Amino acid sequence: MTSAVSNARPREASPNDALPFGEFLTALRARGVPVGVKEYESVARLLRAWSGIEREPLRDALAALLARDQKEVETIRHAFDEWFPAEPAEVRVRSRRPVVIAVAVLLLVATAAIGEVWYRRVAWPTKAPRLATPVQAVPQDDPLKDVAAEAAPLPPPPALPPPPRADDRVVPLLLAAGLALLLALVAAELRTRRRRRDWKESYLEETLESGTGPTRYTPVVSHEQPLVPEAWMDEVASILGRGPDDSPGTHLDVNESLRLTLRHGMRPHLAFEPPPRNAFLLLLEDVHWAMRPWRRKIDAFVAGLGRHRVDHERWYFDGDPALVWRNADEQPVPLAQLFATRGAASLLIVSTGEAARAVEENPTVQDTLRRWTFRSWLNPVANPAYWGKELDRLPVRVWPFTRDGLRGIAWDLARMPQVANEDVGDTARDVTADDVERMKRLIALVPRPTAALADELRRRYASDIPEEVVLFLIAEGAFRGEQYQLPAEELARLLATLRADAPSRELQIRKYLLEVLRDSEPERGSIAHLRWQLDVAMQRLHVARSGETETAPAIGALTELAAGPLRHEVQGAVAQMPEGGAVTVLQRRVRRAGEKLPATIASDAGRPPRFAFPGVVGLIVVAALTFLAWTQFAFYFGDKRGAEIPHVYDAYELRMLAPQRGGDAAILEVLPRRLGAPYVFELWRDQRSIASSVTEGLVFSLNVPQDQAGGFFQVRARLPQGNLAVSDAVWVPPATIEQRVIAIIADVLNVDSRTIPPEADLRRDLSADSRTLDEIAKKIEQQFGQTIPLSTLRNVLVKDIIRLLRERNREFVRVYVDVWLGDQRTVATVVLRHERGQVFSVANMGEMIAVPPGFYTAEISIPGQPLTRQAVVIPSEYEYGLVLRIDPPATGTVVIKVPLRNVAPRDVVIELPSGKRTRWDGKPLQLQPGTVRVIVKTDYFDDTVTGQIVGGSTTELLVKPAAVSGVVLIETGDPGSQVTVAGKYRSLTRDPKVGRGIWKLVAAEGTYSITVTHAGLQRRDVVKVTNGVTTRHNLAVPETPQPRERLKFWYYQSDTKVMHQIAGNGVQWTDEFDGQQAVLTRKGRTTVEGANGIILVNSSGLEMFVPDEGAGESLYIRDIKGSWRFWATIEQPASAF
Amino acid sequence: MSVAEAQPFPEVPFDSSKFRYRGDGSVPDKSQYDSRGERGVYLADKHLVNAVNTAIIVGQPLLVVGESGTGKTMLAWSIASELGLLPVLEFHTRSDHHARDVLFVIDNLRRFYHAQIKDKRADDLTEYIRYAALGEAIRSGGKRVVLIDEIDKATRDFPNDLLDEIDQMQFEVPDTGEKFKSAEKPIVVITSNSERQLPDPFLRRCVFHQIAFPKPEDLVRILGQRLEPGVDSALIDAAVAQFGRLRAEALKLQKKPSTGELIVWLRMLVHAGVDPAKLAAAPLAGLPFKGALIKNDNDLGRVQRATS
Repeated sequence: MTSAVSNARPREASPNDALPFGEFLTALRARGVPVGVKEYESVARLLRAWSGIEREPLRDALAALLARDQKEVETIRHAFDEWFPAEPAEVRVRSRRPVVIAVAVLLLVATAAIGEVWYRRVAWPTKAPRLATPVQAVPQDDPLKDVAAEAAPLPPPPALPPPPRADDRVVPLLLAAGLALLLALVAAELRTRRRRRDWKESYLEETLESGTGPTRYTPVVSHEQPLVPEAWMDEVASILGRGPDDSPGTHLDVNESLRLTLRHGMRPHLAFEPPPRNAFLLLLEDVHWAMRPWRRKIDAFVAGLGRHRVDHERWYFDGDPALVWRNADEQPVPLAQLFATRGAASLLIVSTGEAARAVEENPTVQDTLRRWTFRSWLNPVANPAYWGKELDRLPVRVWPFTRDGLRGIAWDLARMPQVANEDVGDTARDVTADDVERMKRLIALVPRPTAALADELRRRYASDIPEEVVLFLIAEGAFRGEQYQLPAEELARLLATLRADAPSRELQIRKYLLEVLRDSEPERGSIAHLRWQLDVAMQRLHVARSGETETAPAIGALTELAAGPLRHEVQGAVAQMPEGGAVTVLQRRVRRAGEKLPATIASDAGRPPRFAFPGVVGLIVVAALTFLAWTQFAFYFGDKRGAEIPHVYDAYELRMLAPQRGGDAAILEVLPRRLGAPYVFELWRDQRSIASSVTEGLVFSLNVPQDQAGGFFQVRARLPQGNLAVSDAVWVPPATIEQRVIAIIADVLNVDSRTIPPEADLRRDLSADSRTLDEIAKKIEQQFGQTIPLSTLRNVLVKDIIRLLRERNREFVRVYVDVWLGDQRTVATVVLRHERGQVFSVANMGEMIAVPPGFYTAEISIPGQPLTRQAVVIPSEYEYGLVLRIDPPATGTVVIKVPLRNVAPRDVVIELPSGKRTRWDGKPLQLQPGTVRVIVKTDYFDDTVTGQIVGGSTTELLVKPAAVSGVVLIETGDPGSQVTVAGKYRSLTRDPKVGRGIWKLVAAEGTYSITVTHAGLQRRDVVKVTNGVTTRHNLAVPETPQPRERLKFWYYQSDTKVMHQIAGNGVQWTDEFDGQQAVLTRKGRTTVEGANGIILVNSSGLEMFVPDEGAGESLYIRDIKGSWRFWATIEQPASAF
Repeated sequence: MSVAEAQPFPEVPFDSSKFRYRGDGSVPDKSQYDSRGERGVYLADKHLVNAVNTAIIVGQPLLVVGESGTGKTMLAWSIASELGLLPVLEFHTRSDHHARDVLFVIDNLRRFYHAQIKDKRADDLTEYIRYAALGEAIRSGGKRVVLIDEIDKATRDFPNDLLDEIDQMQFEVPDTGEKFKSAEKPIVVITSNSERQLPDPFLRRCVFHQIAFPKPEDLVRILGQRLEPGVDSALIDAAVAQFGRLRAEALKLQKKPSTGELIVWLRMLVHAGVDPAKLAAAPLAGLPFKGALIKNDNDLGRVQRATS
């Protein structure tokens, strides 16, 4: 392409421009909207300066910019809607956040309100009072009063159904709140993710749009063969050059003139450019979009004309030659006007046939064309089979772009049309379906299949495919704008087919594509360069998969690109590769890289949102789910799980009255006790409803027949909240035999039963005759099954009849109780406790008692034996012998009796059968059988009693010996006193308590002489001893009171003087002279030895006695060896302290 | 296809975002437009807003067509007020205007007069040059809004002759040789009542927008702004309803009443104290002051026939 051509070419016709909305504008032109170069420029200027990317404003802007009237406005808007369907508008959270929050709060409040209303539909219980015991005992006559049985307690009353529970609101509310919070967090998280994803998409889109340099690159294709053979052009140029005369040129060739001037020694020489070899050629080129596939060929043809110095001028028209222009910036001119200035030139129209239709419809153009004397038409489609029929009707000859065709054109334009041979037989063959398929396979290999690159591939690798195949591709819609675009599915199919059929050919083509890409590298740092990297990496990956190279570099490059603005294109390209092996790894890496945020974010691009509140839709969903969950929770977790609604126990008062008729057991009266107690209630007997009634403030009474007696009666009514309003459960006892008998008698005699006392005589008191007695007997037989002779009835009282029937009806049993302990019959007290609480007691052996049959607990008390309990059954017999056998226990009881005043239990020692001795605690002992000895030893006497222990029996051991001695306590008043007793005695001992000086003399009864010696003084006395008696005598020696002294002394220990001080008589002094015997000596006086002079120094201390020394006297102490000296000074008399 | 694929084109000589028109009646400094009163308040629909912004961005004149009273002229003032530009430079086209008159006018008659009386001012031609709207906009060098009103009244060549000046933003006064050029293109608003078809080349260089006649609710809103305060809203509603009946397609009036005529009619109704209920129930023939609305005998006859 020459520069002149490039300058003259309208911008929209340049193959290197991918104008925005180019196809859309083309479509508008097809709909009659006059879109020209000016409009293209306006649209481009608009898009460049357009600050927003919203669809609607752009739609309006395009319509306003391109339309000339309102009809075209509508047409453009309609076309825009078809080409760019509206997408759902994105919700701008930032600007609507307050609204969202308000809506969320409103929803939550509405949900809470709905829930509250929903819950209020449930009648919540009011607080019911706790009532008294539900059971009211009914007084009754004891049927067994003759046997003194205790009244049997009633069986437990029938249980009420459990009180209902109210619905729990707290748990469902908490669960729903928790769920709402969780859902809100999930919604927020989802929205945050979406916002972050949108932010990333927006950021990358912005990066893509704001990138510097070109956004796309065009593969630079180097042709293996020229598009138009040079021989063809030589031929054309030769033919064209034959027309005009060979006159000299008129244009100065400056370079050649300078060269010649210099050559001739600066003698001026002028050289002129050679004149054109032909008549002036006016080239009128159609720039309609249908001409795009042929543009390169046309450009090559025109370039060839220029190269062969064919004088020509290039003009353009767009589908309709009525208006033509030479430069895009110039105004189009009518063809007639062009004829006015260029009518002498030879006209060559280059078009595929779109222009033919316009010419056919425009007579003016036809006339203008006819006025051109020398004219011709070049159709770039070489095969006339694909020409339109309208070409035949043109006022100009149409030639195909073949060698013969070009030759014919050349003859026409050389103004020798008669020479032209219209027979152009060197046309290519027709295109077949296989050609189209093969061409598609070639296209499928190319990342950005421009028309040039696709055509070059055809020429290199499938030269047998006619170039008219592009017409079929256009018809299929595969050629759009400047590139081929095949659907993804078809692309995958074509690649798979090609790989299966000719893998080596694919590898060969891809290597060639790599060479093309190497020559096509765009400016570094631009978006186009990223796309170029993507294509190179994909081609290298394809080549590497054949095993020739490593796939790692290509995978690395693609992974890196996937993290950038071209992530979608990378993912799309990788997705077209057959899966398996490295591609699977690659797809995973690419997907992960696309999900991550960009590694580096521009400082002015902001930060991705960290948190986004849930949107309106999300909140609506959350609220709906929460409400749904709330209702479900309320049903499953809150239904009857709330607070218990207690029954109202004192709603009614149920009273039992004595029956008025003989046949009734009782009369029940029902009184409402509480305000609001339902008027409609049911009367229940035990667990069964027997009657229902309505009482409206009145007393409801019911006669209870005898057959329904013997059960609990209770009034129950159901309250609206599901709980019950009940009365106390009233026990209506079963009719006794007495009642039944009296009822029979009253019925037969037709008197009030209440007037018949048990002591009444039938004949005398009730005036019963034989007939009535017989009737009474019959009824008794009917009811009780017992026959009572009339003779008996005549002579007995009513209570006798009752007793007789009782006996016969086994209402009680005559029981003979016999108790055996082991194999011996024994006397015992037996208490029989009936299961219903009646207690019967029998004390003597073989005694008879009357008790009702049933289960009993027998408590057997045998003297000397522990209480024993046994379960017994007393059957319903007339008489029954109850034998209670008790196994004797394994131990015997030892009872020790010591009837002595002066003997305490601690004085008694028991020698067990095992030989072990123990002190007596004063209680009876349970011991194993064997021999036991009781040993008593006191001051007065000694005794030992032996007994034999028998299991289960009690052995009494009586200790009562005669006294053998008495005790005299002698008080000397000083521990240092000595006591001697003349004669024989049992013992004389000093009281161990130091200082009291009490001596105890144990001796046989008699008189004893006692001598008390103290400090050299003696006192003699006579005391009398009485057996078993302790007497006390004060036999202190009268003497001068002994002063108490303080003794202060010191001693030397290893030449160190140590002061010690002791005080008082007999005070103890402790020191470390362990085991040393010391001699206490008065200073300057004789050494005191013996009882008064020798002291023992041991671990317990020093004991000394200074009987009569005064203050100021000194003592010294030395050890026996003489190495120790103890000095002591009597400091003051003890009376001082 | 992405907007980002746009190829580099010559830079737009102004920041479009700075002149983004919103059409919501907001006025940065209302004191500047007191002289125009209500013209500062203008509510545009979104299509019109987009058209205005498109014209601003691409630097082409905005051709606004539509019936009388649809607010075409007010649009220019709305643009100027919202963008904070100086007052609109207006040019009201007459049938004898030529394209040069939009740029400047030389008062030759006055100069000839001065020459006759030997006035020295006649020697200085510049004394007699008056720059018209577009000429003033180019001379000022700043961003201005130029209103060329009712261009369809001018001669056929008038629009085409304007193209070069608008495209190039320069003109020359041949008599003095002075050349003026502006770095910034003015915002040119051209209105047309569609009385005549404009030439295609001119249309191709304009951003086109047709203002539709206001809907009844818009009419009520406009009347509320244009009439004096205190007018009974029921009267306005009744008047608008009758006005809509008159404009109905079925009536086929040659000259449909416009908004301006409606305002005049309403003022007359207010002045006469017409009862709104009676007005609403009145047949078309019985409408008071029909002459304010119907300006054509044929139309008046159609109204009478339709009523009868």
